[in-house]
Amino acid sequence: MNSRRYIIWWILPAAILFLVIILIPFLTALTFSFRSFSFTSSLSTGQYIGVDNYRKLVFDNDFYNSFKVTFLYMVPAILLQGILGLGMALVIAGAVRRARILIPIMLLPTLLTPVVIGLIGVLTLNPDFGVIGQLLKKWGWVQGSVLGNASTALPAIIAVDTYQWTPFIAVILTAGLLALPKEPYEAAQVDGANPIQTFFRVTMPLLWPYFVVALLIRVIDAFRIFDIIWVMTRGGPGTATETVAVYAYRHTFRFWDFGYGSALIMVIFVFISILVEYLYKALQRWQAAQ
Amino acid sequence: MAKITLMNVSKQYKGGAIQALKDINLEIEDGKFFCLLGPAGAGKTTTIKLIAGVEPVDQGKIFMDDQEVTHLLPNQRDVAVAFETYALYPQRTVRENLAFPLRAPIRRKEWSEEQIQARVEEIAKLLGIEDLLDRLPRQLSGGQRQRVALGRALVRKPKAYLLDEPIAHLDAKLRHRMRGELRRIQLELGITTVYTTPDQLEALSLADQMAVINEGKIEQVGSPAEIYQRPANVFVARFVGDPPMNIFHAELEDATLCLFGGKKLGISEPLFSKLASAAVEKSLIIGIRPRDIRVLSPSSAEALWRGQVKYVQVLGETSILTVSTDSYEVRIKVNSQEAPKRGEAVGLGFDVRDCHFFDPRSERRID
Repeated sequence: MNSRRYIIWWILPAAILFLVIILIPFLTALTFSFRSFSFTSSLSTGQYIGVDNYRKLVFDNDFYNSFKVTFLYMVPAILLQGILGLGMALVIAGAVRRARILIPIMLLPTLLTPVVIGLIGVLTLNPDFGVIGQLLKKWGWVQGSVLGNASTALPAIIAVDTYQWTPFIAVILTAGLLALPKEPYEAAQVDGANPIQTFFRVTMPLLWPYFVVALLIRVIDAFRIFDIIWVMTRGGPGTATETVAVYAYRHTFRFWDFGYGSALIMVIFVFISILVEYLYKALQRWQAAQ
Repeated sequence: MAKITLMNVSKQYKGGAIQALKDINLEIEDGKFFCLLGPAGAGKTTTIKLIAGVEPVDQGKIFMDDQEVTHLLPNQRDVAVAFETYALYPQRTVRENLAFPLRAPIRRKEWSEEQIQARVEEIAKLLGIEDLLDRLPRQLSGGQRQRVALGRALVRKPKAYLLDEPIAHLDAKLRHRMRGELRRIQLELGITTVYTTPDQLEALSLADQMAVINEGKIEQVGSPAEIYQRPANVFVARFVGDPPMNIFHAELEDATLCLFGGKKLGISEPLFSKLASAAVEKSLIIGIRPRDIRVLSPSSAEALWRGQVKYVQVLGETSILTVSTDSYEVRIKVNSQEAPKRGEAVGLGFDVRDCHFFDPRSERRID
């Protein structure tokens, strides 16, 4: 029997899945981005219009704004989640033998769907009956509604996102901490290092690769964040919380401009690919330079 | 400099599932080079870690000089450790790795910056890593990392050096040189050194005193000569010496020792009575070193066994023969010029005075 003939059958299920789930939608979106598919216009026949969608995009200030919003959300959110996640991981890794039960409880927010988390956010931040919303109003930190104010809506989303995703980062870092070799710690003990030196000389450098993984996942997520924002603010007030995913969604499914929406998605896709590649290399270089 | 004493020390891992050390008693004399010899998994690293204090002792006590240190922190014991797994600080240059033990907060006032730099350079030169000082550990090969790990231990002058297979990953030539250097440094400084190795030759050539450890138990303690010449049991007999000692069963009959193949070997009356009292149903274990077996012509009257040469392993000056006889394969060390050829029929003889006798049940030496 020729085993090569069988190889095809082994690969086929994965190949079909890849084709159906990833390749076909991607190629469809790619072809859409070169066509006019505006269902609100009588000219929406899907005819080929070349790079018109892309030309429009270059001069679309709202699109640039959505990138700015995405970064304004991403950078503080990831910093916050990284720091809190590390703290949580140190606690979990330290307690893992005695308090294993804590882990699933701490993971609860990550397990909930983002829509539910968004709703929790909306309810707790409500100035009339939400726990946190009432307090913020009482202390005079926020005038009226947190989510209705352009300067507080994005921080609120960052806070809710952090609530959901910190445990996820904590889990990655906990796995890292538990997998670290013991000997470097023992060497530090023998040498007489204090806890702070041990943390910066041993823990951080050894844990760094895990940080990079968590960071890259969250960067990619930042360009996809949609559910929480849609539930909480729909990108508003104005465009204050309109990230790229929200913006692309609005064009595709609110304005029914599939052509332009697809072009947006293609640009975002290319941008993420470059960004992640660049970040990954930069983080490696940074580690090497240390 | 200190004497190190382990008193009834036991250690378990995984909640008692793994008994790493069983009731260890050791006395490591002040200023001596002490080797802990044993196969992988014997408990060598565990012993080092317990003395260093990085792992807690389950039962028993550890003393340094006459002070009990069982519950002292590692940095209060004033020891330096070279870890088998290197355990270097990642993201720190070789220079910083070597300097850190001198810079640590507990020794802040002891060393000036110039002294530290000078000491680091000195150690680096000694270990042949002076060109690597500004590299990071991950830019080094395994052997280079191991030298940095060793350097980080040697940079200080503590009460004791604890070296866990510190040159195992160096290439043969460098290992040979480092062995000499280590011994020289130790003699010069007179610092008590505990050195683990799975290599019997290394232990024999370095140690003032040594212990053979196996499955968490000390099999024998003594000078290298004592251990080589009078192995306390079959394990030590087999483990120390290369090629390993030949081990056979034999029976006591009248005033003779009946070897396999039916040959009888006359033995003296005092030896007979000594063996008779220890033997179990007249059965004994005999050990004989490959060096102590003579190769004779197959027709020789002195030949106790006859057999055929199965392999000849030339090691330069000497060669190792594997001779298959009726029941056993016997290994013999001969001078290469006198080595028979593969396939040749030979007779084998030895002197009863070169035999080591062991109790077949306890496998302990009969003296």
